[in-house]
Amino acid sequence: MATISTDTIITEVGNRLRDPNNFAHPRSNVLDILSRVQRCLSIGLRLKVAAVAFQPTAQRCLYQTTEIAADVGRVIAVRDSGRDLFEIQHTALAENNDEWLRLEGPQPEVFSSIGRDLLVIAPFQRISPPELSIVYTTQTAALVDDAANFPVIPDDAIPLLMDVTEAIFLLRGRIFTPESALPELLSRIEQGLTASIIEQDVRHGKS
Amino acid sequence: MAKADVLALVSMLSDSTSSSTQVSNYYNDVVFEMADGVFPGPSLTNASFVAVVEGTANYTYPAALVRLIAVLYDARDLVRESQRGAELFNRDWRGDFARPVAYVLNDEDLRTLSLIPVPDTSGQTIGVLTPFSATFPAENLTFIFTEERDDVHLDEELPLALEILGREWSRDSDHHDAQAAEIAKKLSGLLFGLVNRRG
Repeated sequence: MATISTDTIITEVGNRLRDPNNFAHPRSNVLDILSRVQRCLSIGLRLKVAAVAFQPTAQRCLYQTTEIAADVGRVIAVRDSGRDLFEIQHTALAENNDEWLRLEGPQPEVFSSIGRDLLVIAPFQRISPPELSIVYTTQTAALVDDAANFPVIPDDAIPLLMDVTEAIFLLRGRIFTPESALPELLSRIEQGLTASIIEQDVRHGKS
Repeated sequence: MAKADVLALVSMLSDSTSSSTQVSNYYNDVVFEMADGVFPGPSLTNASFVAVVEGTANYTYPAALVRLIAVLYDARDLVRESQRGAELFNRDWRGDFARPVAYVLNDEDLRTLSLIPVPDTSGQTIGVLTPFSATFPAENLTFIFTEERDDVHLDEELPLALEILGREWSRDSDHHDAQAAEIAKKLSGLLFGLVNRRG
């Protein structure tokens, strides 16, 4: 969780936009965009994850992510006690076994996301499947404009949060004159996102 | 509520200069394109049963389907085959009756497919069952697909609104603004790429 409060961030964004009293951009609008940008960063960069106990159904491999929890962004891990299930691409399901939909086994071994809404956990158990732990990135809740309310993403993501929010409000104000902050801001956002994605990929052993 | 939320967001970001009718149409267009793979994804996925009838080769897609991801007969993930491939398998494939192992996308009716071989038995009654029910009606088709729908995921609302703004400002109107449109689309692309990247 960030240590900078939401109301401080809103004030800072207002200052950057040369709108310290929020005449042009009401605080409620800035708050809404901050909440939405935080959600994008949280899901894209895995900044806020949650784990929930999930009881699979006997004789079933295919699930909707809404069955897991209401705030699922993307499933990133499935665990059976201390054992991580292997994640595979959905195209590999049929390559491994073309009857994956009704595959039965003593314990679940793999999981696969099909888009954002479907999750395969295979093989299924005929009776009493074990309770699993599902780890996912969360659709973060809307922020509150209050000194006691803090973004749920870490401090090092706050500059990116503010940059994207500022860019969106410069766009709203159509401030594109040559001296506009927007070109520099867009370049910084691209660099920030690229660096964050590379960092995430390295952390998860993808490059 | 997603559509209403996105339309309100577009209105706020455009300072109420956008056309509500046009923005609503753009919303439908962009959501369709999200399902059609124009943006990173796939995102909007679903699954549905289709009843199999003995001796019937052709099956119509579920109404909301935009892109087909997989088709399964009973438990089996069917192989997609070209018509030429089907003919190499059996010149008389349309008259071959057995348990299906593959399918061909029809070029006569674009929203149907043909099973190879033609099913020699009808599936169990589906009734109210879905692929997410505990009970599985054997020997039917399961379609897995991307779909067109009213609501998108919460995190997709902001990039979607920016893409709509980009289109609204691009079109010929009294509020046409090519520069703003380009920047809105750039931001939309960055955010779509972020939320739907496979991490």
